[in-house]
Amino acid sequence: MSYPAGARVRVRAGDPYHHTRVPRYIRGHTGEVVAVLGQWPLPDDRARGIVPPRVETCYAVRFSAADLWGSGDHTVTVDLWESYVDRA
Amino acid sequence: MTWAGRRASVLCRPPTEASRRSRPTGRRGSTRWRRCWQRGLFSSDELRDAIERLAPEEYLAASYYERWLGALELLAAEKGVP
Repeated sequence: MSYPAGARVRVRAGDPYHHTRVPRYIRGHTGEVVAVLGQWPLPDDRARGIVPPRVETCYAVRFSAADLWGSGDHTVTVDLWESYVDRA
Repeated sequence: MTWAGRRASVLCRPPTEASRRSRPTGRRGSTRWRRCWQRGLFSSDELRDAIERLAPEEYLAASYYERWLGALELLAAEKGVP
């Protein structure tokens, strides 16, 4: 699965026991892909010393602050690996 | 560019001669840790993970670079660096 700029994606709400780059404040929330950043190794694997790590497409995903926190007129953009999200 | 198996990243890339000359204070006391990076002893994500595994009271009391130092000590101990 890959997502073009403009796609709506939902962040998986899991709580892995290991390191991940998904901030808790976006888990379960929906955002919009604003840029496709190319292929990068998965930090969850690198943090555990898994060699070679999985390599996935990374996306810049924009969230509305009001969606995340109930107020605010700004947005928050987070770099997310492919396995962190599903199509919304 | 392929990243499979590569363990260094921007965060842990050792300084070049030019950058060391431009930041003289960066030379002090950093040789051992730079060797850790250069030898691929741990990755930037392992450092982030180690920062998150610091004891809460240690994490909350520490400054940004004190957290790096605590994480480096933790990793060195876990990996048996003399």
